[in-house]
Amino acid sequence: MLTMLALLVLAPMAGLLHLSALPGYEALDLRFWENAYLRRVVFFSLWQALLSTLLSVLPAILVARAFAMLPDLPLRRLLLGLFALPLVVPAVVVVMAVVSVYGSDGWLPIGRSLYGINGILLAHVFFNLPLAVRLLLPQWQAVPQHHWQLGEQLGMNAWQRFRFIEWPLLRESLPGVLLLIFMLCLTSFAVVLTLGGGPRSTTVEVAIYQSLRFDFDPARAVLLALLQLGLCMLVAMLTLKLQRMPEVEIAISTPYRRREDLSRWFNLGLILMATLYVGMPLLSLLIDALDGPLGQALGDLRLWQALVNTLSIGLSAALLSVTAGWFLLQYSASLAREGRARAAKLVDLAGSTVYVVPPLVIGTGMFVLLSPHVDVFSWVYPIVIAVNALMGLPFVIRCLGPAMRQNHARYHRLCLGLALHGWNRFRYVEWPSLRRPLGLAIALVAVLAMGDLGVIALFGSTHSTTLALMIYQQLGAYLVAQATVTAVLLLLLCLGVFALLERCIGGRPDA
Amino acid sequence: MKSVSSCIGTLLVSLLFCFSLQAATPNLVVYTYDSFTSDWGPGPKVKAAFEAKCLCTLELVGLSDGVAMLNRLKLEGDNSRADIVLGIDTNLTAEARSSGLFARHGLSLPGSALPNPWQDDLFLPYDFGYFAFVYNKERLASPPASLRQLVENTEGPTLLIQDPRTSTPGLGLLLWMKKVFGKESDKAWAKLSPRIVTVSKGWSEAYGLFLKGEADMVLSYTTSPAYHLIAEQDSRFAAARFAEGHYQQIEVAGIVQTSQQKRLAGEFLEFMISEDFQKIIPTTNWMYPAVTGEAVLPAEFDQLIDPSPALLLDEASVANERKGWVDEWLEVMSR
Repeated sequence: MLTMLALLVLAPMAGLLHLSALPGYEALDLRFWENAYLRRVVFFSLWQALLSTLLSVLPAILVARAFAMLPDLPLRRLLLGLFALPLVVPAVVVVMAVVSVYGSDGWLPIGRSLYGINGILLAHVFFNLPLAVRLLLPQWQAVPQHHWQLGEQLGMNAWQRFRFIEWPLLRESLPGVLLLIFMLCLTSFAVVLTLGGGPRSTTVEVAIYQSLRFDFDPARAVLLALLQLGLCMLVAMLTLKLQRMPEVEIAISTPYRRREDLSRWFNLGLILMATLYVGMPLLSLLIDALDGPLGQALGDLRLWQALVNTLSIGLSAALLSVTAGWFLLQYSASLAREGRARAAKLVDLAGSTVYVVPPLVIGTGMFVLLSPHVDVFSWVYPIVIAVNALMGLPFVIRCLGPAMRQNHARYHRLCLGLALHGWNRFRYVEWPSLRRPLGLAIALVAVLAMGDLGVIALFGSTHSTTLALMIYQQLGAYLVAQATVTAVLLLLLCLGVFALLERCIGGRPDA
Repeated sequence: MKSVSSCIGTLLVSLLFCFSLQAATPNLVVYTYDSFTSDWGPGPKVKAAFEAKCLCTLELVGLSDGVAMLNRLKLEGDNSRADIVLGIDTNLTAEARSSGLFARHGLSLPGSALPNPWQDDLFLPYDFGYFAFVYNKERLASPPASLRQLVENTEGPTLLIQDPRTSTPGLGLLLWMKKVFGKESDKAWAKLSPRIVTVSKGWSEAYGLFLKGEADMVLSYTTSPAYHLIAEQDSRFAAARFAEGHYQQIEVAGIVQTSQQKRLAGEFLEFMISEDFQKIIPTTNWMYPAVTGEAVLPAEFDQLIDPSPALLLDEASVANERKGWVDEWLEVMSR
């Protein structure tokens, strides 16, 4: 499994590196680090990613906690569905939405200072705060009931409850979430380039894109990609040091059900603020779309064809990604059981960090490897699906990892004792306790792949338009209004798919 | 049940028939950019018009831009399916020429609308345009009258531009500044820099932000206002005419050396400079057609500014100096 993963990531890179030995290409130059510009780029990438991550995750802890404390909140499912949306909006649309809200003609104008680190942070928090909420929330659902009861008997206040009951569980998933969001911000591209205000705000990802697309210096692109991977590995090691493997106990977990008027208002306020922050840009899109040529855009047959393409890519990638992630996690759990914790962490790490290898590098590399042997045009879909599944892997590992480890710790001996394995073990032991994180993982990857643009645009073809690609085509043809309609349709589709998958696979909440 | 299976049988036979028909007609593959093939670009109309007369299938493959097309061709080498590459511009022709991937077309350009005579045995132009700063007349009453004025006036209008590393107009402005300011262009950029609201990756982002009112002017084409006039009956937008002249972009096509159908490819290039193709260009690609003909240009194009004199650096110096100029720009803009 691990070998296959390595092959999928490293083979394309090797293919690109090999090009630098051919005539007509730039030769491999290892002294690229001596460039002062590049050093600035690396520094800026790390700095903006760090700030964005902290500003997204710290408030997300409070908001997720607020959701956990209010299990009977009206519209709770809808709000949580809303929180899954920002992840899928193509970056160019997010830029427009952010400008609609904070731009000079917007609802909350902040003027020229939008362009620079402010704009980057606003957009990144919009993307990642809701994601962090979604990923952290299950931790509260895993708190055993008798912990709450014990806390109550001991007369703990809110802070003490957080410190002694919630934090130990949170601590297990927090490092992973921090790492995931750090990677998302580190590799952010269009947001940084458009809202960053100019080349002062350039990230390594931009430099990779430039060397591959503009200078066509594949070797440099691979070196930069490796540099980015290395940076990420470093951060990953640091965050994983924080991580503590859970002490698992067998207990019934139920949502928190205690009413406290003061903190209830506080929590409601937090949710309201987060909802406004996430909702406003989305609302501005909706308003623009309703204002646009709705009938004309929706009557276009090609829109629906693109919708079908988008849907099939999203679902296939999600299925592939979750299957791969499942086996990877099983492998890491079995390693952990054998006492090889270090090896287990390494497997997790490999699965989590593939995200920072730019899809453009993997895609171009795959092209180089495949094009002498097959007709690449008929391979567009498989490649797009494979790359998207790969990019989704860190999300699968994040959603499924903690639950899978708990499951193994609780039930592995029992399964051995009962001689349960294979399908039966999946059916009777793993499925009931893992279906919820599984549902979230599938839904996230599907939605992520549906909003992806990178790879399909790279290969280019006459008949493989997706909604995301269509948005770019419309923007390129002055059709801003139609593009907004397409973007909203993509959003609604994602919302539908997300809710459906999470419900069908994840089952009823609190069931 | 029987009728269903016979239905399926008929379907299969007719499908097979279709495939065999397709195999009999030649297939001409054209690599071009995405916005050419998109439903709103010239692609669909061009395909219909050419297929009506050639008894062939025209397959338009959309890649992201000219650089992507050249890279793709390089990577594919002898295995390339492409017969024609359409949509690289004069900033890339030097590189394309030295790659040895293109064959001679053997055609001339009668009735050329280009400001300078065209002589090139590998590439043939199909349209051209001029870069310009576009503004909203209701928002900006008196736009600058020259590039120099735009640069010198520190209280001047705010701007949205594109990155020369990732966008064609972005590179166009870089060359425009070089042509006008020469060795002083780094100082000019330094003066301009505080008024640049943001530098976007591509044209779409900058133009979208401009339409949302984020700056007074956006780097685009002199022909952009024609879109608003024709498609939206909106006359608020105009391009500022600069006294030094406007930098030119010429888009060309060429026949791929490894093509097995050079005759058909030649027929396509001939079609490309004929009126049937040229009249599609103004209202789909929003550029000037390369060949003047009867009623090729819509009346609204008369309202556009006169961009003369047309500025253009020779392809060799662009190819040699581009990297250094971009680095210089980066240095100034990163301060």
